[in-house]
Amino acid sequence: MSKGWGLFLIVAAVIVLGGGWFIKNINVPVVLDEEVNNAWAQVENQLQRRNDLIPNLVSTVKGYAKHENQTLMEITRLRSQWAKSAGITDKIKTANQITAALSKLMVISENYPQLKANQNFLGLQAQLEGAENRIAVERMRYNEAVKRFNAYCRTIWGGFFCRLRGLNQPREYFKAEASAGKVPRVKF
Amino acid sequence: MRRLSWYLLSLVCFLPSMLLGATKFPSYSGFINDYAGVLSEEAKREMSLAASWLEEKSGAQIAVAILPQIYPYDIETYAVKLFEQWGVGQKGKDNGVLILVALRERKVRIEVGYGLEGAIPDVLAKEIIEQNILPYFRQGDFSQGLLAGFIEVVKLVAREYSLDFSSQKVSSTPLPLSSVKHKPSALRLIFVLLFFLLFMGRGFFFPFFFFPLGGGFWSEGEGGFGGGFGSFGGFGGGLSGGGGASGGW
Repeated sequence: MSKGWGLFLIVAAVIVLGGGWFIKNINVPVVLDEEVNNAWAQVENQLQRRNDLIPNLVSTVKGYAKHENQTLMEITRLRSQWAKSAGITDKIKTANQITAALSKLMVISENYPQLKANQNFLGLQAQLEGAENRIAVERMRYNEAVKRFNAYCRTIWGGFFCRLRGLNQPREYFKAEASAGKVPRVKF
Repeated sequence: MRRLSWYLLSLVCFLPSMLLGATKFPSYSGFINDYAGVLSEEAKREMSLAASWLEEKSGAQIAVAILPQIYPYDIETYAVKLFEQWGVGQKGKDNGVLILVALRERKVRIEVGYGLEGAIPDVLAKEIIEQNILPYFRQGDFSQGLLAGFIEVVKLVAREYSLDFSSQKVSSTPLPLSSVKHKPSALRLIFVLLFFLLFMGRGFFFPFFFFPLGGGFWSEGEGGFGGGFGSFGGFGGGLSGGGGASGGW
């Protein structure tokens, strides 16, 4: 075999392997980014689901706890604020505020034995628990998707492909506020 | 031959966890997985048969896991992770339910797959826990409580698929009492290693690698398993999203 042939084979191999590697990776950022979008859609679904419980919850509590109007109005206000908020940052912030307000409402309801005995309220409470848990699960999956995307884009070659596809902004994590998720303590 | 394939199977199931280091979540060996050894044989059999019946008729899968403890997780997180790990229900349909009991934490959870959230809304899951399961659990009767809750869950899922579940019908089917009950021993480990060495180089071993049947080699010793009743071909890759309810006693 002549020397020219050997060189040709080497160059061909490099082109084939390099091209294969390139083709294999060129779509990875897009796929990862789309996974984040998909996970966010799930989060938003569950947040919306919780919001849909609010009117019923508010009207049930209102019948028993007349002195808690302020909390109830706050929740209603936050719910309409959610509908108006655009963008992930805004929505995360509002969602965390709603979480805090709702857990406050649940603590307040402890003071009203008649409310606690109400069958309708008990059902709503179970539904709210379920809604919060679903949000927690989807939030976890969303954050995992964000981590995969961000970590990929911070590696050397991953960063190269991310820039190539114009996806060089890191995606935002859904951090629960420090107070959210924990039921506030009641002091006696 | 049966024994041989059993050894191979347990090896295959055991090997990945050996390679990956300590696994956080136990592997399953059937619909009913009692790692704490608190269930009676009868309850296990009854539930396994009901679960097999349901799977055969509808494809939906109901799993039970009883664990001594789930530290450092809370029951909600553990349930969702174990559900995902096992893949209860069919892939894409997500028609699975996991009933998880953590003894030390004194918590029980019914985790409902995405596909069955309509059949078992949270309120009903809560009701089953409060009315069917917890009264027995409070008296320390895990078999009776779990069985009662399990049957309620089966009924709800059966109704979703327009099936009629009556436990009589299921109980009267002949019991295929299989002989897959071993105690782990040093002898068995030696056998397993022997077979591993024998078949490793022959490609004979690898087709088994993705066999979907669970059953950890080690975990089997921690209390008898109920995997031997009815038919069980592994879970299907279903997913849950936090639907269901929890309770404590």
